[in-house]
Amino acid sequence: MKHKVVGANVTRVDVKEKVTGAAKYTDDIQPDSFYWGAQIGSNVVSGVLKGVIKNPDFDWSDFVYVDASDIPGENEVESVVSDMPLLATKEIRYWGQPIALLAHRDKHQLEEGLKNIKIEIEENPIYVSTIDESLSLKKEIIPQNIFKKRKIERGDIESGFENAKYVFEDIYYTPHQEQMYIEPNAIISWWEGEKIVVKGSMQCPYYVQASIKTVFHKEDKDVEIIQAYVGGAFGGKEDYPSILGAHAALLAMKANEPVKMVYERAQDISITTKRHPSKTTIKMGFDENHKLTTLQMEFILDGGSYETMSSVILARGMLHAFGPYEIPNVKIDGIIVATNTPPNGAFRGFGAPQSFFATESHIDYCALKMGISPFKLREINFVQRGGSFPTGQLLENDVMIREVYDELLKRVNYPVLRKEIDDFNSLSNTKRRGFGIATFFHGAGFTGSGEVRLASIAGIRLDKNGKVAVLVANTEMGQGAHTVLSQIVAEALELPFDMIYMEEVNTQKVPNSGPTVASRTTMIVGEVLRRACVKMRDAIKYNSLDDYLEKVSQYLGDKESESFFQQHLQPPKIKWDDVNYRGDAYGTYAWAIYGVEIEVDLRSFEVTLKNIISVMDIGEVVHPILASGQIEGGIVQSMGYALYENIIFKNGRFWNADFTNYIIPSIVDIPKMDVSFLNNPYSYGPFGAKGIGELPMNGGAPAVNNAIKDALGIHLTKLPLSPEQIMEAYERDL
Amino acid sequence: MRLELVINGQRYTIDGVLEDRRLLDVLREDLHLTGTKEGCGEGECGACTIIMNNEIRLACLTTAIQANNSEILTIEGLEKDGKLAPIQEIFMRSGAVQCGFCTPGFLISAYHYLKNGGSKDVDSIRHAVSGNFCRCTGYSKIIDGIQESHDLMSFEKNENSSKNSEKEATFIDLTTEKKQNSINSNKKNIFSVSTKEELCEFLKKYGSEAGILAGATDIIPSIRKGGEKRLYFADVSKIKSQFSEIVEDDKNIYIGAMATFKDIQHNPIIKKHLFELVHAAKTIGGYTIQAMGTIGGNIANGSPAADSVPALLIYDATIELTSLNSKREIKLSSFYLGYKKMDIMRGEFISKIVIEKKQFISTGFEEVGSRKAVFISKVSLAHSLKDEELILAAGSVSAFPKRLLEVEKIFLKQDLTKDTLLEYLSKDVIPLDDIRSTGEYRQKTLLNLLWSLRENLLKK
Repeated sequence: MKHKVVGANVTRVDVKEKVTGAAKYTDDIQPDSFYWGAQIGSNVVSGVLKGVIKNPDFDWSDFVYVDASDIPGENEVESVVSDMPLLATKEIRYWGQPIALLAHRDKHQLEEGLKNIKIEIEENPIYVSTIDESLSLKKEIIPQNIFKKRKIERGDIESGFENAKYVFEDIYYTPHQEQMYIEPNAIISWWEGEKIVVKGSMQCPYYVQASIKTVFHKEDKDVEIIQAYVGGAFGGKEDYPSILGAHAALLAMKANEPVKMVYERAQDISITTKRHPSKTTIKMGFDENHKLTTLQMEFILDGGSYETMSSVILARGMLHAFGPYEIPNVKIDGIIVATNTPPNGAFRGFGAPQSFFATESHIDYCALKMGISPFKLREINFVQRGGSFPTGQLLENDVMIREVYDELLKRVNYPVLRKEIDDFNSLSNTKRRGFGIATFFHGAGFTGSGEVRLASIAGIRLDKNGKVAVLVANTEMGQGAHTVLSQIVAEALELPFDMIYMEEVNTQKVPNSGPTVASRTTMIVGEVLRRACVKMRDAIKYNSLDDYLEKVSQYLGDKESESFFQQHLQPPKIKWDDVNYRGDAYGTYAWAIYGVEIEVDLRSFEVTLKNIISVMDIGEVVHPILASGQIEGGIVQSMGYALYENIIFKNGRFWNADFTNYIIPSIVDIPKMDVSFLNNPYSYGPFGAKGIGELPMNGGAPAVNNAIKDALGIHLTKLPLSPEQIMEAYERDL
Repeated sequence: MRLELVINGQRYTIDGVLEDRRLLDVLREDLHLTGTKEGCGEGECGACTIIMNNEIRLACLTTAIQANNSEILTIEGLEKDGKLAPIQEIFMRSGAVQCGFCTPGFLISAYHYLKNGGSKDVDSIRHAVSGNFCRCTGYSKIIDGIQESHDLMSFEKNENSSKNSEKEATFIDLTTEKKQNSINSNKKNIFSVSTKEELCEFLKKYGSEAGILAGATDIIPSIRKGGEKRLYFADVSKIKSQFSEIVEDDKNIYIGAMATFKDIQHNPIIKKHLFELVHAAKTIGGYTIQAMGTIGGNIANGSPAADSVPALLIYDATIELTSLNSKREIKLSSFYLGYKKMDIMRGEFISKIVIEKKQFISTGFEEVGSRKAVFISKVSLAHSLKDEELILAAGSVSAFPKRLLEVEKIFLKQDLTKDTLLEYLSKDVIPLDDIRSTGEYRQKTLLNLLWSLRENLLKK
């Protein structure tokens, strides 16, 4: 079917404000009078809070001070597991853990005030910072330091390994990754009578609303959450605004004025959520034909000091861990452990980049050990149409892994590239080139029955002038969601794009269409919107734009507007068993492959990215420029994860809390990328679209690792693939 | 102080501004020009990039006193008479914008680049916006957008200057304003000096408590982080032009200490004679930092990783130190005495770098960093060879950048082995572990760089 608006590169709906500087991000909002808020955090990694002492000689008259005793409702952060206090009262589990809050109209005075507050903590000098330390039980934060365990099982791994001709095992590690949105976390809050208003940089307004309701014991109507322009999020503003929003609202309650909290970069890096570090033990068994018969994995995530939402990240990590392969015998154990670090949270990919690093690196390692090409090994083992994943999910026409793989090899002209690389390597004394691939996928929407539980509602509102407002709680944070959703509505209503506009993302104006996470906005919310549009078209029968306005006017009569809402409908085929982890984990998957060519300097072992090629199936592409922009941006984040990004500890706290030492890729590090799409429409996505946001994060690190393996013949198991690590491995293997 | 500015063609007079209030806060909080963003507050992310007196600059590293009497262009000034600049139009449709928070900085950097005759070459574009970080787009579409804008941008001469600013000034009085934060709460004292003599007197008066704000790219972050011990600072904006000239005579090249790294990389004399210095200048921070940071500042900062120093050591540079009534010259190779310790006396400042012109057989400068722009080097190595005279200099491997005098002695001997080279290298430097790398990696990398350099030199 040919579409008019879907598939077209319409102008982003938010872009003019962004190129002129008119867009108001949270810190740009400047009420006539307001307080600056700040957090008083723990100055030790572990201990017991004894008290907070305000210098009696200091003039506190213009300050607002809040501690846990001021909380009207529950002192907890609403999450999947609400085990974290909003403000600590006794136990301190990480450096910087919020204890109290302070606000003043003058930023300078606020700093002075902070200096005059002394936190008294009985320090516990023993703490655990890493997964291995946590498992050693050097210190027990919670019983056994284990928050949660999960399991996926299929077939019989014991007989699988017994009958295997080849068995290879190794352990892979990945570090924290910071989202490093350019706009730090920022929130402003004020009270209107009994109503709390929170406006800020956030992904999920209804999460913030749930948090505030819990902390203040308020009803929906008394908590208004508004999204401001968001300067990047990537998961980092999924859960943290629930904390910051409640902090600001507490201060605003006592200040009787708006309170603005804007984190400084160092603070943002030091205490907000990050990608979970992981430790993955992986064992693969192959038969004599190199068929992957058996996979055993222990996938451990570092949840940080509170569990919060780690269990769903573990689930997604495990449900992608088996890679795009058909494997009869599988056992995957997932574990979340506790450490004395800030709670880890959402970051694009949500557990999958960690497990794919292990699986897709290990496949190449096994190929090397068996003396077969990693390409061939994948060809033998790719899951086919009609095949299934270890949860028992039957994959019908959805599977596109072979297609993206074939397309990539064609695009890079592999035999020619191979010869070029081999020729280069035989001539150069100081440099080695290599090419590696990673094959991967990403399930769109919430895991398992998550979407059923969410039961998202979205809608459209027809205005008297014929314009249509899109009513969703999904936020525009740069990814282009508001443009794409407007396109879907325009297409479904067969109206010109400029007759569609976005209603403000405000919990009092839009229904709860769910959080802006999990690659769900286009596919899930877009489809709900499309169905809402069908309702409108059922109500108003117009044939063309010519009679549209007339029919609208007849339909509305004296009314100013009419809204049409729709709730998410789970596609009939999807069945999921939450207890046994069996069934259809995701409605569909987007499929992808990366090919990465790198060059290693044999003197410094620095890696230069020479070429990055990506082929993906994301279903129907709603907006080609935005889609390729999402992929390119995701690739670059995954290159950062592969090569540079790492949180370094000093005395149990994060040390490299700045742009100079937390290394994200610069514009000079990234070559031109070749991004292309195959189109296999998804019948339950709007006009065939699938989710794409997280997909590009999953494959970068293993592709680079495999390219390094190709260049140097070394096997690395730990991110980032730093020159220091490469040098060590190269010298060891010489 | 009274701050007089022309911003986007509009004249502003602001009374009662603290000398060390950041220009970023003046723009955002006092004038409500919130298009200029703050992403890090330390001159690293580029979100606050503006143009000041036709030079690209970071508003978070600029104090009010440094900005006084200048002409400023911010993102709000790109739109003229209700019409967007072509680059804005192109960014709107090319996918160069996602979350938009870095966009004003990128647009300003790109606008400045194109206005100053920047080419369509991709690597030149990358260099020009290397001080700007984006976490959303993957950069490709930003580069495309700048390339596409290249032929469409037209620039009026002096477009932001006096023509519009003749209009009456907007007057703002902050004298009674309470909520005026500045760069630090320990209130450092900042003075503006108008002559060389004033600077010398200032330095004499405050001795070790005095510092010079030239580029200020290191000092301001250091003050904000609470790491700066000095209390008194002299803003040298008014005398900068006297001390930033780059000239030559038959024998020597003279580089004013207040020349920026951008001045250095574009200067024809330096490009002709001191190629490795151009090379080093291009690797210092991102391009915005290169446009602000001065070579004198890099030397005086005394950082082990000061990128320009190894490049100057191989040219056997001499530095000129000026005090109230005298001048003295000292070889850069004997200027550093220890970590952040220098042979500089009370009342003296670095005024000039003098380099004798020579014909070399070979020169080189290599750096190993954590990424390809905006990094602090893990190891750097520079060399020059003239007849039999070899100079090797290394950075980031000892308390200060230094010549490898022991290695120089044996470097070109025929029967040298890598083990012997390491033995001599260990006499020169013992690299340490820090936040960026390990001592072991640094030593091995430096050894490898030296070994491959030696192979190349022996071929010549």
